[in-house]
Amino acid sequence: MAREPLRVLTEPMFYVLLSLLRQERCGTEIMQYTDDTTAGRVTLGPGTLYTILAKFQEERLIEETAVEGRKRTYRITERGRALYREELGRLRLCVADGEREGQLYLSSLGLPERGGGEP
Amino acid sequence: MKRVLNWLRNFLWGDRMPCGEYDVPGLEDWLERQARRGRVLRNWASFAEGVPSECRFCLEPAAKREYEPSDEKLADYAAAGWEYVCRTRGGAFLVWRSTSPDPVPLRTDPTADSYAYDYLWRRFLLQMALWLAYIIGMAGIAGYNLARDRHFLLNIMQDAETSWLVVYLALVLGYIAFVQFSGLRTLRRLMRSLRAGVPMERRKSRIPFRTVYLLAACGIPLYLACGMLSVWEPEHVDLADDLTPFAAVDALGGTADGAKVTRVRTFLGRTVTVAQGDCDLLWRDSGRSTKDLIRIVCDTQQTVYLPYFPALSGPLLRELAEAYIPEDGGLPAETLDTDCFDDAFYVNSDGIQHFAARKDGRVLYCRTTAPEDLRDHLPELAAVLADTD
Repeated sequence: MAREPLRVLTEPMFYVLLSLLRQERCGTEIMQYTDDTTAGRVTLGPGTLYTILAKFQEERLIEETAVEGRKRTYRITERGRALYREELGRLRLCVADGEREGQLYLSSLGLPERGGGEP
Repeated sequence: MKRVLNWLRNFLWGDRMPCGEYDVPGLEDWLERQARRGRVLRNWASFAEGVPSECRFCLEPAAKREYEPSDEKLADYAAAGWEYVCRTRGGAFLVWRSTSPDPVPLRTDPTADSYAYDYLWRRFLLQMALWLAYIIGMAGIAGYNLARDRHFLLNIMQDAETSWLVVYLALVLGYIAFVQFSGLRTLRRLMRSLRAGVPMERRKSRIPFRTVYLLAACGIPLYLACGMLSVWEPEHVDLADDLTPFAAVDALGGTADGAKVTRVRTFLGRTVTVAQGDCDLLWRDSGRSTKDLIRIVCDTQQTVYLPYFPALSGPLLRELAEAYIPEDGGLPAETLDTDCFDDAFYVNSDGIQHFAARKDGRVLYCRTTAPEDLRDHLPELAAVLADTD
């Protein structure tokens, strides 16, 4: 089973990149940010976070900026931002497709369109 | 007594891994059941008696050169309610335990978690490659010895029965292959499952793993004990009544006065023949009952080799004729032209006769000081091979 480069980000991976967009953060802050932003919807276990950080470093999507005692701080790289934008675009397309299909479905039933195209 | 029985139960069954070392869900399930039984994990697969408790265990693939978790990791995991316990055998996984009733799960994204197995997978493949290289290397050494060592086959057949040697090699290689391919299959399934975003389901322990261990743990001492007890009740038979084929000393011009042959039937049904009597007359088997030795009578050291593969009888006879006899007798062996054997060699060196012959994939070797010429008794010697089981 060969090593595979990242093409699609899972939700926790996406939020890790997102958390580093504006500022550098350490692992605990990333977990806290994810929890706050998603209101607990996305749980980031410490084991998973370590794996994601290691994988992102290996893929040069993030880099370590400082080590203070036990605390390691990370920042996103240009490559990481590019992947983030690519993922965001993919998600937007998914949402747009979902909305369009939902509105078509509502029209076929003769129902008025709702915001977001939810059937 | 109860404590002894408990210890035995744990030693032979409970504390044994019920599944392969890469079956992560199976191992986690086993450790949790052990904790519920009051078996507290100290080191990998080493438990102490404690209070039964509800614990959760998580096995995490160790990263490259991660022999112990870092302080940062220890602190972060502790904040989530997990404590580090130990590494698994070989250091493939770090074992974490949580006694908290509702700990933060360590692993929350199967797809991301699958990346943690990348290093383990590469390490596993390397390990398989090393085993393969080892086996190829051993085969190469055996081939080299076969080609170069003048006594290679003879040494093997004098030290161990060829059939047992083959069985032993098959068992060792089979075990290695089973463990490696079982690990490969489990690890592949685990990684595929995670890559697909599905955590691998927890399965109950599989019986065969522990059963194999139990059989080995009980069977080997039992086998050894039976081997030691196999000389328990030797069955004495007269030399004349002994059914084991031999070339009688009388026929070779000697005497068999005072000779006694003891046949010992071992637990596993093998019969070993031990000749006893005056040392002048009998060459005594030194107790190496595992040899392919069939029969020794009087001052005729008569040995029959039954190669597990009859195709080896040719090389074995060549070793005897071209290396062993010239070294022992000091003279090259001459080829005998006879219908009694497929090939036969003979030499008489200062009254000591050496005779080596092959027939139907069996090899007979005699070394004797018998007064009569062995060449005059070729039909009797051929009968020894014909009668051999």
